[in-house]
Amino acid sequence: MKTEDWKEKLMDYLYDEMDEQEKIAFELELAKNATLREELQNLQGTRNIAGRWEDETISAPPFFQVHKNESNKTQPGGLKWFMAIAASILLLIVAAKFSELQISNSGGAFKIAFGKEISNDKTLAASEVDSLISSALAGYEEKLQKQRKEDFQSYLAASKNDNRKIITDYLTALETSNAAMMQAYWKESTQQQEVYLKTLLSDFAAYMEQQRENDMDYLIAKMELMESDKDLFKLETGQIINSLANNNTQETAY
Amino acid sequence: MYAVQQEISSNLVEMAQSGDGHAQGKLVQQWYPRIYNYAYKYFGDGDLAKEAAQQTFIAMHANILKLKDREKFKPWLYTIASNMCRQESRRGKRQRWLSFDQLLPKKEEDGSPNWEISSPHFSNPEKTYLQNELGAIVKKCIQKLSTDQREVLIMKEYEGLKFREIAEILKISENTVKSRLYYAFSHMKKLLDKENINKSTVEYED
Repeated sequence: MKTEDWKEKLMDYLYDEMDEQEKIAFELELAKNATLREELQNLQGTRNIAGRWEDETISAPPFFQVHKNESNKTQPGGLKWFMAIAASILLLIVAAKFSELQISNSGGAFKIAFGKEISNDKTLAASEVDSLISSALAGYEEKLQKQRKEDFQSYLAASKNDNRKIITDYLTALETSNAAMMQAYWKESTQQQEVYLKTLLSDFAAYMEQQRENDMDYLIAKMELMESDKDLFKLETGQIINSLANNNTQETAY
Repeated sequence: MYAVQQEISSNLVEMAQSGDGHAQGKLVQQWYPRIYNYAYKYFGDGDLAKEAAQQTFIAMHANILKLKDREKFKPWLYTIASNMCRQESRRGKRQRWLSFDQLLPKKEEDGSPNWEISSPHFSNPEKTYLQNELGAIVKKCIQKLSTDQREVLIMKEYEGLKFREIAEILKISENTVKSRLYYAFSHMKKLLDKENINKSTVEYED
């Protein structure tokens, strides 16, 4: 067996946590196993050295020292509960006295009342209570239906008049706005046509004036041309006459 | 060193459960040093140990009515402490805070309240020095163990809990507890050998 296989036993022996029989058996093994003996000595040596690290001397910090008077605040649980229940019951009794609470348990019926004496004589049978409830419910339903019908009719009448007034108002407003819109349109259109015609006429007059001026310029130019042509013709005619006159004179001299 | 077993008064627990603040205070006074030392050995840091110990007793105060078997107060309290240490350790990994004690220079005339740490006194100054040196090396080696091994080692070696109680606290089998403790010691031996600390060194110092 290897030394490691003995490690649990070694630890038990080292810290003396073996029973007598185990201890005897282990010591027998130690006597014949030198390696195990050496291992144990090593462990004891290491343990001896490790034990040289002393504890630090310290005491608890002051804020952990709780004073004794705090314990007086707590009482045994039983007494506390008893006192709490007794106080609750007393409170209920006082409240019942002020609210004139009456409790009865007769004829198999448990009843609680506030401010009125409980009377067991004027009790109604279950069928009577049912019929009373049924008739009350039927009456209530009938009344409710009648009320609903009246409400609906009055609502219809009111809404009819209102609708008619709304439609009339709407049509009137529409008609008025259409008329205003058409008037505005025609007025605008007439003004635009008038402006257009005025512009057209003035443009035409200007055109005619311009045309007349152009024609006049043309006539004047033509007349001036004709006049210059006439002067030239006159000059040429004079020259021809002069030349003819000269020719006649020379012929006479020969 | 063997941890001093605290005498549990089930009567005190019963009184605390009935809302007796004085009894709760007595329980805290009785158990605070043990829980603080468990947390201190777990973290190797006084501030974290104080935080975990305080959280443990706040949880104890809030949940003491849930403890059905009063005889199991001790493993119940160590279960809370173990959970608080793991929780604080996880938080510590996320947020590494520096305390003012680490940041501010320490004054010579430090008027610490009497409930704060005070070092153990020895008559022989040389012995005190050697003891402190050895303690510091052991502390360093224990911090290098895995969480599982460290928890078991502290609970058994320093808090003196039974294997059955440790198994109950950690919700594992007794054999697993013993196995973890065995490997914790094996690992410790290797770490101490690296620091040249062995049986003969300790005997020489004595």
